[in-house]
Amino acid sequence: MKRYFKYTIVSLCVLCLTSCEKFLERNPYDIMPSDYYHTEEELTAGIIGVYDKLGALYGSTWLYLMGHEADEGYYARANRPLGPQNFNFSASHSYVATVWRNCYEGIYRANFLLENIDKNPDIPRISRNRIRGEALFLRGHYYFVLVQMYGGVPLLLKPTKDGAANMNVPKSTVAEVYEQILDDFKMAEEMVPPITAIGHGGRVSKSAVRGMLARVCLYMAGYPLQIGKPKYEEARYWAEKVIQDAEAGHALNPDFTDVFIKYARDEYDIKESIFEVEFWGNRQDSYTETGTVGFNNGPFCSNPETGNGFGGLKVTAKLYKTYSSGDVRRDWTIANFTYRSSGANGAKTNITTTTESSLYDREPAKWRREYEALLPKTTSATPQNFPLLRYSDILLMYAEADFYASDEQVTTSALEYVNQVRRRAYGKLVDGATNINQYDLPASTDAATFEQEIRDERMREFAFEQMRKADLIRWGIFITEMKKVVNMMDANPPKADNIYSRDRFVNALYPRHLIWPIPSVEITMNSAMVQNPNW
Amino acid sequence: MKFCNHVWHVIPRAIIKPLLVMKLTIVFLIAGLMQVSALGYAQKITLSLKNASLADVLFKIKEQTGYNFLYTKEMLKKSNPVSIDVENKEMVDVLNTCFENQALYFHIEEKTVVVKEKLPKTIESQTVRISGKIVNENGEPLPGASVYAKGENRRVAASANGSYSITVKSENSILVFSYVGYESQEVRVGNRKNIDINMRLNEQNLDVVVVGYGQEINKIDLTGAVSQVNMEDVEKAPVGNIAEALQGRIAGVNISADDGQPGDELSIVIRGGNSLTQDNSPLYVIDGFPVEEYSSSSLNPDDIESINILKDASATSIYGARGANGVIVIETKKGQIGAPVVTFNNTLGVQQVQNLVELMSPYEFVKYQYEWNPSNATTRYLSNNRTVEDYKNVKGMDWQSAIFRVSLNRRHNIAVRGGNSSTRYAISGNIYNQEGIILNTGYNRYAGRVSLNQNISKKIDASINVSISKRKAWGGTIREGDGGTVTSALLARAWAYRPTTGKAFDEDEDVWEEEADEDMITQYDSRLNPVVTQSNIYNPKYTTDISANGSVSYKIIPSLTLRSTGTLFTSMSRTEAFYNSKTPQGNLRSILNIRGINASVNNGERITWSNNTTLNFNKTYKRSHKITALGGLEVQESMYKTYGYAAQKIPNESLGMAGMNQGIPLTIRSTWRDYALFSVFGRADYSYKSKYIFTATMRADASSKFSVANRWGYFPAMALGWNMDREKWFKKQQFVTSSKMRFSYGLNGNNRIGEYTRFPLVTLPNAAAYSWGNSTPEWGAVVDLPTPDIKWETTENMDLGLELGFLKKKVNLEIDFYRKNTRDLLMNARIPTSQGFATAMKNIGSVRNEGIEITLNTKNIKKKNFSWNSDFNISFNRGKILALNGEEDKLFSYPSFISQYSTNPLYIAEVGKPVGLFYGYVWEGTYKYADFDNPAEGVYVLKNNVTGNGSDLVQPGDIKYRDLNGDLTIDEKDLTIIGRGLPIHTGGFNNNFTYKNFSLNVFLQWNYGNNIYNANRLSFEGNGNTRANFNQYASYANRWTPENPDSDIFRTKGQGVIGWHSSRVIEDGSYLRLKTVALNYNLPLNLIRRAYMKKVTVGVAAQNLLTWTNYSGMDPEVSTRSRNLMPGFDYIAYPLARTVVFKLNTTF
Repeated sequence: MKRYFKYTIVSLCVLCLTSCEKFLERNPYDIMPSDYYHTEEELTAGIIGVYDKLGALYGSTWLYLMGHEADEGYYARANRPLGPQNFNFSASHSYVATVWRNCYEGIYRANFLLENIDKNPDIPRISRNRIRGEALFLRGHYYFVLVQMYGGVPLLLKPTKDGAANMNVPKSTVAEVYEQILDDFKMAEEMVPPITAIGHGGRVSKSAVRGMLARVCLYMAGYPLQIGKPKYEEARYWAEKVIQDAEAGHALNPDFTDVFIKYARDEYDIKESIFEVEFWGNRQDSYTETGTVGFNNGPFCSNPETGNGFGGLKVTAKLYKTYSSGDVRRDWTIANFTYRSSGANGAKTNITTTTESSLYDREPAKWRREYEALLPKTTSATPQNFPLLRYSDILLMYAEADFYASDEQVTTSALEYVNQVRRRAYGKLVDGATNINQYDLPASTDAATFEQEIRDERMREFAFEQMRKADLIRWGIFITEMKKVVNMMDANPPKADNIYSRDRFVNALYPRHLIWPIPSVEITMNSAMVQNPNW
Repeated sequence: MKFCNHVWHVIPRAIIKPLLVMKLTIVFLIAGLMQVSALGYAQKITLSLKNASLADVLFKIKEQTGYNFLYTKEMLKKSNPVSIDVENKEMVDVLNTCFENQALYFHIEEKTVVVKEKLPKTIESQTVRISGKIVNENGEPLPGASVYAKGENRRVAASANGSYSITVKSENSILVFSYVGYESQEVRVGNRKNIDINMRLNEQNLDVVVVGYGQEINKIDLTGAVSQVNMEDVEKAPVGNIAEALQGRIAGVNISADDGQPGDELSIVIRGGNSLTQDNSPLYVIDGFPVEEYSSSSLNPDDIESINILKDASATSIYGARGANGVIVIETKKGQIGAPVVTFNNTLGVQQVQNLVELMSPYEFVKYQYEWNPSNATTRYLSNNRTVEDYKNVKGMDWQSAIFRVSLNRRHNIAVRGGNSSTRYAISGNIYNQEGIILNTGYNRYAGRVSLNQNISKKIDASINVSISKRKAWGGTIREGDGGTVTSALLARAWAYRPTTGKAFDEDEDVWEEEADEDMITQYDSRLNPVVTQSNIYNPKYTTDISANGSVSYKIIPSLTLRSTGTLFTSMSRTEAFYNSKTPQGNLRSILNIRGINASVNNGERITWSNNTTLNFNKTYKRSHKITALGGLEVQESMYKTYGYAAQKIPNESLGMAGMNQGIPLTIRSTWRDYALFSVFGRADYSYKSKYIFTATMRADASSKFSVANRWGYFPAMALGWNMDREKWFKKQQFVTSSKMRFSYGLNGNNRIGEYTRFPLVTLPNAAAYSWGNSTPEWGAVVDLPTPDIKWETTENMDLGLELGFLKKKVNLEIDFYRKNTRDLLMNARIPTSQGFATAMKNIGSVRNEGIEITLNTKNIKKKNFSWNSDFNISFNRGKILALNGEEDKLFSYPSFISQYSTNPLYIAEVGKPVGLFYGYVWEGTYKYADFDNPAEGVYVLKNNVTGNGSDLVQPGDIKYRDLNGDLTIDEKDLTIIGRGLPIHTGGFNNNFTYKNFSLNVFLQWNYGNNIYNANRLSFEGNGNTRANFNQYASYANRWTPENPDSDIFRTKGQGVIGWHSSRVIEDGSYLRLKTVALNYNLPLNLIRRAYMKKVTVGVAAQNLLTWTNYSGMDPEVSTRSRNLMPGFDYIAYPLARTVVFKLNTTF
């Protein structure tokens, strides 16, 4: 009897153990990477995942809480000035971690896609290459953001596949990171389609890559790498490629304000707007692809007809005064009104006072929710796109690169491209404009004036497009320019409501603010990581 | 009644045949499975036989009563034929008649009638005749109890009414009274003729402990730390969830509610939490079936027969990879042999909030508003030439009281249990209905259970248990709120809502009906009427648990039993939410709402099946070597599916959920997950004369959650026990009656991670969609970071226990020392974010928990009519983090609540320290005038040697923090540990008093040494978020003002930097609670018998009657964020209710 049961148990065990492995093999009811990336649609889904991080990066805090606007404006609240927007923060600040993480999440997704892109060789090479190009460009772009903000960072070019793997990766140098960006961008340039084939600025095009190559080269030429002339030449080369691209046919939108009205209306203008971060919808459906362009960085507004605005930023007198009175960009970029809290869409009260102290109360108004076409307007979510590269930038980059590449000679072409931007600014490109060259910089412009004009022109043209801090740093004048704001404030103090705004500019004078600290979580968890100096 | 007057022979034990001993052993073991029930003996027999063989007669009796009979055929051969004619007679009396003229006698052991042969009669003189009555502790007769005189060979059994009659040799004879499960008593006859005896329950010998997989061990032979719950005490608590009743009753088991939300599960942590980021809840074993995802609220407390809590490795290692958090073994009530017993138990009572927080009166409110913003206050409150003083006479609106109510609580249980020797059954039904003390909240449970046990043949038994539990909780989870702003939670809205609007005083009445405070609908704050919002909330959560298990056992040979159990457990849940235009989520005027009127449904379904097959071996060799062994296999599979959908912009809100189809479809969710577990396990206990005991356990688990390489986990354990009291030398003293020492060491595991952690997964989340060219967004693919080589978390568990009984066990003391070292923690650990992820599941870090548990039971007074017993327990647990994640020696936690406060860490877990410490600035009251230079009138400049508080312009009355490093600035370097979230010790003190038919239970429970972060005070004692027209706690009236310059409560707007955490709102969370008071009265038997009732108890019981604490919040039993890392956080918690119920329990 006993023996019989012994045999039963033994055979039961054997039976179980053999079928056991099968019983215990549970695969997820999800897609595994090994089963994915076999079709063009799946590769497309992969690249969407990489694009998605642009939305996370530029969707909210980038617009008003990072201090990118430098001397153009400030985060105006009657609270103690803390945080990156006030140049008063530490390595453990959550924004420091968020920007880092968003970039590296994008990089991981790009790396993972790149590793799987050729799994099915039956997908046409041209399709695979387009996606490969986009992945390489976006990876490069995330590294470009990282290297600007944090200096040298770890270069991860392969995706991690194991949560328990060694993750202690040291920093690469700033130069190494830039070289990688150039490599990625150049490869991408060959693979992605021309902008005319795409029809909008939301996807990576040849023009976008070339324009960003110009920008990267300009940055490499300036601080901190200070490579100088060779990179200016290269920058000029890439900018020129965009300008000369007859097929793409890039040109300025004759009306500066229309550029931004188009963003508000979700319209595209591939001649002007070459690369933009796409936001979509008003959350009236199941999608959450909205941003906060116009809400966070537009004028304050509590009228739901106009579209609510948080009014996160105010401007400096320095910015206001950089414009001449005929410059249409001034009163478009800086609101000369406040929105009424009720009434019809766009109901405004005009601001008449122009005393220097009162200028600090004005708000940026480049992106105006009153022009949004998608109704109803949602309180804190907008469909407006955020521009990363406009044609005027190409023109100004060309002019700048050409100026330095020509040993600070003001060339005709440089002058012409700056003047194109200026003509539009003074309404000289619209139909029926007269005296078109009225505000042109003269051919006699000397080098010093030209250099200053280019710098001011960039400020006037791109205010609150969040390039100012990076520009000032690469020109090596960030602290000087911030100090100017302090001096202006001392001479004409802002109103009591903005009592803390001066502190922000004083804080920014510490040299450590040229780069952000490495996030403390990275320092703690990555033993090969070293903190940036002075942080 | 005719006395059965027979001579019973006492047989020297040595003569009894070994065979019989063995059979008896088995009988006892079987008997041990069953519950002693006095009611089971009331067996009526109707029999009419002439000259029948004794065997036939006994068979007939067996058929009618279900009793087992134990005899050999040889015995009965010698028996005389029996003639009998009885109707409805007690079995004992019938048996006495049958054995009248036999050379045999019988006695009853539990449910077995043991027949024995009489020894040849010796001549004796009959000198004294004694009679009397044998009753139990409740005065109920004990039929079948045996009486014999020491050294004399007479033995009689008590009749159905408990009476006996025996003749003894002399006045010096000593009568021995015994009954299974009761302590034997010896009484010298003396000159008495009548001796009545009250038998006392023999608790220790009765105790059989289920140690796993149905294996039962006498408590004396137990080597593990197993706490048995005294169900009788627990049943007295008027609660719906058994866990509430267990709170504070068992040493080492820390049970606490997150707050008082009706229907919520309680958190149970046994001997300190091992895991930092994963689940620390114990494994439940319900009727032999291990469940990881168990809701104790699904159980009807009335259905529970026993609860054993396994705490150390000796006991838990049999559950291997799931045992590290401790195991709660629950057996439900089964049918007993005997006539059907019908119980009908009812409670009906009320609940109310224990205490409210006092809020500012209209006068104080307006006074504060005037300080806060004079121009605003003047416009709103001081128009029509009113002054602040005028508000002294305004009654004001009490919004807090308006959302609380006295609510009804009722419970009805009906059960029928009974059976005969071959079939036993139990059927029960339960209704529990608890209305919440907050408006429109509550909880319902409908539960039913059927249990059937069938003896198919002598060797085969089968049983089946089916239970269903349907639950519904409604009214939303109060502590979760509905957004991230200050007033996005009901209680915050109620506290913040103005006591007066400043309109004409008599107009305030209309405000009760208004949707919102019109003055306070802004971009940051939508102050909606708390009463209106809560009345309109529709957010029911339905859960239906169905469990069915069946088992077959086959007795291969008497010492070996094969048992196979199969279980199917289904848990279905559905959460509905309908947010109409008067709820914060559905009101378009609310800043939180962009979806209009919206609704959602989420369904979840978990199906788990398991089978275990065990082989049980029980044998005692040479009467000294007892071997109990068990080996088995277990398979388990669990599948979890969820589906959800939502709609927005619903046009016709009057239709409610039914109109959801008219809305715009929103998200659709679905998930499927499964896991499988295969296990082999064994346990062996060897006991030498119950003096030295050795236990060895081994379990091997294979789980689908782990890769092939790490699939198997092995969890061995060993334990030793020594019953010192069985040593000869021990008996030389009288003071210590019993003494036992036990030691155990072993490994346990924890597998509480996601099913697919080891797999890389491609997901296509909504959040990763992107739109190109204004086209509808397309899903993007995102890859999860897997950890392919993840494995079990291992806990090394050591326990040293000492059990002592003093003064004939009037005092029993049990002390346990334990240490648990948990390594390879399953931790959702931070990784360098440059990898593209914030965290990864890792086996990293280690934690130690060590502690002392003391349990003391005393029988303080034991008189005929009055008794007082008490149980005291206290547990100390000290947790210590031995290692964290790699180089990381600190882990900060951020409670998410009001957004500004969620960006700074409030908790720190640091190597070398316990988990759950509060972290922040040390609060030092306020700045006083002496801290300032006063260069001009009204101008105060902080002195050079006084540290500021982090804000720019410090003024007298502002909040002050301690400058720890003395560098005259308050910054991150001044952050320090400012409190502990976990208690130093916890415990309970239970008292049972009985006086005649009255019984009184008084149970006190406490927590000592923990702090609570009263986050409510950030907003309501100082308006930390600086909101306009925002009411405050009354305590804030005592704030710093120039007229009240000594106050340590900061002045209006003196809150300093918004978002900093400090010790200002850290409070002592210690409390002593009069947890349960229950007074019961058993109606006299003679009264109720006429109504065909067996027992009627009426009573009154109260829960959470009184609480002694220094905590200023509504209740100190609170933890509204993660318990592991962020204990003792109080923000807008649903306060625990005070309950008083009336009870009527009847048994037919």
